[in-house]
Formats: sequence, C-alpha cells, structure tokens
Amino acid sequence: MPSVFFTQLRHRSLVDAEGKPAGRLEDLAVLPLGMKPPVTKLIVSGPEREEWILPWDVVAEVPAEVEQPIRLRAAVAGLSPVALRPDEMRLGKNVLDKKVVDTARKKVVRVNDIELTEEGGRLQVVGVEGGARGLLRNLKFERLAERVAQLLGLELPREVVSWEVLEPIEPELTRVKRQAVYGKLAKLHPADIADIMEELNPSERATILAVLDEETAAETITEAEPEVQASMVQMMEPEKAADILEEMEPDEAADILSDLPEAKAEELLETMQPAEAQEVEELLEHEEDTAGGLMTTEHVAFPPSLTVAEAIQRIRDEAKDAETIYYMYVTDPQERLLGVFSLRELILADPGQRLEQLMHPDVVSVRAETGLREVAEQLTKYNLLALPVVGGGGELVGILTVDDVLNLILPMIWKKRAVKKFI
Amino acid sequence: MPRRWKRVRRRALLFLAVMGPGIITASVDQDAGGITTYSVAGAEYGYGLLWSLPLIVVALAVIQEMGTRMGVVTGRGLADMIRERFGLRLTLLCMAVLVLANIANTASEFAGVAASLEIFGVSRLWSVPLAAFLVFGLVVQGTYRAIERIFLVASAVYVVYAVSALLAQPSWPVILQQMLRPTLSLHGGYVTTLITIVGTTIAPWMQFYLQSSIVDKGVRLRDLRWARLDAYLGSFAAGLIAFFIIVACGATLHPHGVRIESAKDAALALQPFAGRHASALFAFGLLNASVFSAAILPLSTAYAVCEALGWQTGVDRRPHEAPGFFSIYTLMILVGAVPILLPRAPLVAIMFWSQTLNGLLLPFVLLVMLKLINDPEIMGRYVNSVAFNLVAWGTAAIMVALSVLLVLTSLV
Repeated sequence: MPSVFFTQLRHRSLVDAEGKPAGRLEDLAVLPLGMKPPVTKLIVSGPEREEWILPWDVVAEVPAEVEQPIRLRAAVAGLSPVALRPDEMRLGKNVLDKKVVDTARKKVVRVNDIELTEEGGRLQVVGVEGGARGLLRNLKFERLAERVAQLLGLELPREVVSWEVLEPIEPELTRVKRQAVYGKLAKLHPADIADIMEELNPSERATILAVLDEETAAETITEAEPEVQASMVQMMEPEKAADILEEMEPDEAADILSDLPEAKAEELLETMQPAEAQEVEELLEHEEDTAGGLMTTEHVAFPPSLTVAEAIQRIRDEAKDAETIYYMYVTDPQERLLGVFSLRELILADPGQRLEQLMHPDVVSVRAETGLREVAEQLTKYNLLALPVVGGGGELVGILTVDDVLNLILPMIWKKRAVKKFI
Repeated sequence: MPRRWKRVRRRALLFLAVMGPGIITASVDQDAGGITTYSVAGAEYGYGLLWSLPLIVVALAVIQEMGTRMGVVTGRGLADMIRERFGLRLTLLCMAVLVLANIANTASEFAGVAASLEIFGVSRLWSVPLAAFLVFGLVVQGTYRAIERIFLVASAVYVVYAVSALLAQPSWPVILQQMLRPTLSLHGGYVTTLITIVGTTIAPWMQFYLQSSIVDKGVRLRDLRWARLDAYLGSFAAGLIAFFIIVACGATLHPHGVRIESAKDAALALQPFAGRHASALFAFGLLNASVFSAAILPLSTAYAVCEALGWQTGVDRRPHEAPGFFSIYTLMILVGAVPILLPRAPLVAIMFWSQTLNGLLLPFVLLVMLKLINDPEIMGRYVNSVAFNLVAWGTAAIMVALSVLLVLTSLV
C-alpha cells in the first residue's frame, strides 16, 4: 500500500455521499497502541459547525491525488458527531511539530510530517518524519525541491522514525499511560539515555527523569556530561533528587553536588539520608581534581588477625556496596593502612591463614591532596586497578579506582576542564 | 538575629543562582545601535527626550517579564513554542526575518567595534577580524555557564557611562524638570528620534534570547519570583544606561550645538567639553557593548532557528555534533563582519535597515507572545493579568504605529 502523509491529508475538503461539501479535515485521532496505531476519528471543521469529530467508519475513500476531496459514506445531515476518548491522541495537535525520541538511532527528532498507510480501508500510522524532505512536504515544496535536486543530481533523503521505536517527549502525550510510554526509552542503556537527554532542554529532562526508576535515573545522570548533570539535579524535586543521589556512588554524588549552587547543594544534603549525606560531605571537603575529590569511601578493609575464611565470609556479608573487591586492605584499630592483598590471593590462600601473613606490607598509596596527574602516574607505573588514599596519619580514608581517573584523563575532558578552570 | 541572617543569605543565594538572563539581555540591548541613538538624541535635543525613558522601561519590564514567565512555566524557548502552536510555515517566516534582522544587527555591532577602536587609533582591518575571531572562539571553546559569567562581568562596564555623565557636570534641576514637565515637539526629527529610541530599546531578538536563556538555565517554577526580579532589574538597568548616555551628551554637546551622526562622533565630540577621560571611557563603553552584543546576537539567532527546526543546539557541543547550529553561528559572524571591512561600507544605512527590520518584526513577535501567554492550555494559571495585557497590547499598538511612521518617513 502506498504511503499517505498527514500534511497532505490535513486541510483536504470532504464531500458526502450526495457529493455535497462536508467541511474540511483538520486533524486525525489515533489510538496509540501497537506498532501501527489505527486512525479512529476525524476532526472536521464546517460546513455548519466549527469543529466536530466523526468516527473513521464514515470515510468511504481517501483518493491518492492530493487535490481530490475525501469522500464520505453518508449524507452530511445523517452524520452524528462523537467525542474523543481520553486515551486517543490527535496527530496534528499532539504529534506534528513536536519533538520525539528515536530510540533506535538514539536521537531527538522534530516531527515535520507523519506517515500513514491504508490497510483494509483503515489508515494506520507508520511513523514520523524529520529531516529536509518532511520539512519541504510540510511546506508543500516537495515536488519543486525534488525537481531541483534531480537537476543538480542530488538525492533528497527521507528521515523516517517508525512508530515502533518512537517515544514522544511531550508530557501531555504520556499523561495517560506514562509508565508504559516511556518504557521504550527506559529500556535503553543509561549511557544512551544520557546522550538523548543532552539534546533536550532541562524541563524535558526533568519530566523523563521523574518517570525512570531511581537506579536507571542515577546511572543516566552519572553518564551525562558534568554541565548536564548539574542542571538535571537542579530541575528535579529535591526529594527525588536526594533519592537518586543516595543511589549513586558517593564520589559521583559529591562531583555533582560540587557543581551546583551552594544553596541547592545544602538543600539536597539536608534532604538525603544522614548516613549517605555524611559520606558525600566528607568527599566534598577535598579539592575536585585531587585523590580526595575523586575517591570513594566504599572500600573493604579488615583487621590483620582475621583468617582467610572469615574474610571471605565478611565479603559476602558486607561488601555488597564496595566499589571494587579486587583489592582489599588491612588496617589496624586506628584505621592505619597496614597492607594489601588481591581477591585472587585471598581465594587461593589456605582458609586458616591469617591476613597479616597473606598481605603485602609495602602498599603503594596516595595522599588525599595528591593531584590527578600523579595519581594517574602511580596507577600506570604499578599497573593497578585501584589505589588506597590515606590521610595525614597514614589512615585509610578511601580508594580510587582506575575508571574514576580515566574519565578525567581523556584529553577532550581535559580541555573542557582547562577552560572551566581558566575562568 | 543569626537565623534572620541565614534567611537573608539563603534568599540572596537563591537570587544569585537565578540571576543572569534578564540582566544580560538588558545589557546586550544597549548595543552599538542603542548607544548611537541615545548619543544622537542627547546631542540633538538635550534632555528633551528623557521623559520617554520611564515609559519605555515599564513597557520593557512587562515584555521581559512575559518572556521570563513563559520560559519558567513551559520550560520551552519562544521559537519552540511558536513552532508547536503555530506550525512550520509561520515559524519559518518568523525565523527568516529574525535571521535577516540579526545579521544587520550583528553588522552594526561590528561597525561599533570598528568605530570605537578607531578612536584609539586601531585600524578596522585589525579590530574587526580580531573581534570576530574572539567572539567565535568564545562560544566554540567555552561552556555556557562560563560564557554567562564573562557576560555578566562585562555588563558592569556600563558604569562607565554614569562616570562619563558625571564628568560632564550636568545640571540636575533642569534634568528633573525636563523629565516631569517635558517640552514636547511634533517636529519630524524629534518624532523620528523618539521612534528609534523605542525601537532600539525593545528589540525582537531579546525575547528569543531571554526565554532561551531562562530555559537553558533550568529555572524552576518555585524560583519564578527571583527570575522576575532579574527581568525587572535588567529593564531598569537598561533605562538607567540610556539615561546616562543622553545626559552625558545632553550636558556637553547640546548647549554648544554640536551635531553628531554616530557614537564615534559622540566620543570624539565629548573630549573638549568633558575631558579626555570621559571621551576614552565613552569609547571603551561602546567597544564593550559592541563585542558583547556581537557575541550574543548570532548565538541567540542560531539557538532560535535550531530550536524551531529541531536541530542540535548548544554551546556545550562540538561543531560536528551540531552542524546546523554552528553553520548559522559562523555565517552570521562572517556576513556581519565582512561588509564592515569594505572601505566604503554604508555603516549608517546598515544600522538604519537593522532598525527597520527590528521595528517590523517586533509587533509581530509581541502579538505571537500575547497569543501564547494568554492561552490557559499552555500557561495554566500563569496567564497574563489584565494590566500586563494592557501594557503589552499598548506597546504593540504603539510599535505598529511607530513602525509604519518610520517606514513612511523613510520613503517620503
């Protein structure tokens, strides 16, 4: 079946069964269900009424020629208007000219036209069209532009987003079944959601974040650019933002809070659970580009007298939240760092062996105020996945993993940071 | 006492967090064209046009507040809203005129750069390309917040006009008397100057820029009152700057019957009356205003067009991520800067046409804004009050009348 385009249907005139004019088509209503939502109603203006709604069943034929009127089955006098159901939506009012997310190509598209097909006498929405071609058709310049393009030997590409992968951003569209509608978006990888979010404006981001579950929202924010992160958190309701910050790694949460205006950061810290807030506050005291500013406080440390079997049991019980368990540390009662051992060493060791016999006492560590560059050098020099961070008295305050540092070492981000620091 | 202090501090912080868009927009408003207009008005009619400033400030404040409110309530830019409410055709028409008007405006900013630095003996062959390059780099390299901070600091430079005005030792009682009981005139030149003052102070691009900045900043509904304060303060500041420029020129040039045609003339003419420093300050103010506005105009235009067409926007992106945005931005800087380098560039004509296009576009933009802001489906309970509608409709009507008059007088 050939495609029909919404901008070519809109404003077409209607004639009834007796050939009398029956007004003009203003809009189409669809039931947004399934892969190809069916057109259920037409919104018509004139001839006597300003706006009335008719069921699609009254349509006899939609001629392919754009100039031909749409023919109805009955006489105007015999038509009775119906009302829209709350779960129906209007293509012209709610979809055309709006922004939608293409979840397949992970980008935001402005709808220039809507593509439909006819199947068994019923019109169905196939998808929406962005790009130059849809824009020209919307303006009724498509034919002209096609000829010009042909003369120049160019092709006018179409940019179609099929309904299957499309996610409207408009809050009103999703009011009915918000959870179900944002479902397509929520299934993407948080890094992809973050990319899409960066193309939206702050209030649109907030609308979407409010619907995602806390874990997905936290991961999405973590994956976004620092500037976007701050604006996302700022736009959210404080309670929701606090919940999401609690869900994040404390070092990520501290990074974001340090980019917020002071009053806002204070408000969020007050709203967060005291335990989580305290962890974040401790991290906030360190400079952004130092070991202290990058580290996480969620690490695994054991007393030296523990046996290997006890240590393994403790990991099972307690280390669920730890950022890494590939390295574990041994500390004395004053939390001073005594040694380190790896997960591999722990598992291969004799269960009755004490940790003080297993550990390496020469630990490579950095101080909280150590700069980013030196941290990176230490990590690469000793080929480590994580480094312990110690305070002035040699006490273990946190650990730094290689991915925390890698994020900042990437040259592009370096450049951006440099500009930021400069100002 | 400490609790009260804490509350004051928190409020101050809240305002500081929201502050920016309104004040920056108002500052950009006092651009090369604005400074020229006020200087000419002061030299030609002394304090005779000062009475119009309070009225203009009220109109400006109402319109800026409308843009702010729409941005905060809907979370959308003006171009975005026009597209969603009025469809593609009207949007494209609107954008085409906006681009044209703003290219002309940008050109007049670069003309301002050329003129102000020529006072210090720098050739425009150096100053204009340098300024264009600077403006370009500022946006391609920086991040939005950083840029905003630079612009906010730049706004403070407008204090130089107050200093210039004070150095000119004006007679304050006469100023007060002229403001309260003005001597009106129906003389052709007087009316034309009045039209240009209104036209240059309330410009259409401001509405797009302001609303986008508000949206970008992510101001939430609960902070609306702070954003409003920002818009009002900005409008007041704009009026104050205009006041000081008119006073500076009115106190010095007018009594001696010095005729000027541009802001450069004004800066040079000030020297014998107000001293070398006043003249240099005036020129420096013009330079700052021109660079500042030359940076913002292409930016706001690129934003508006991309917003309307659904192209990637954002100064936070790399050029290849947002090709449309950066093409428009670059094109506007190039088309704005190159004509100024031509030896016999018709600078005055360029400024006049930019003013005319602004004048034609403004009533149209105001009508669209009024239609949008009074739609309860969009604005909910934040639709315009009767008083605001009266002022805005009044301004639109006066602007239509003035624009028609301006076009007619230019044709006759």
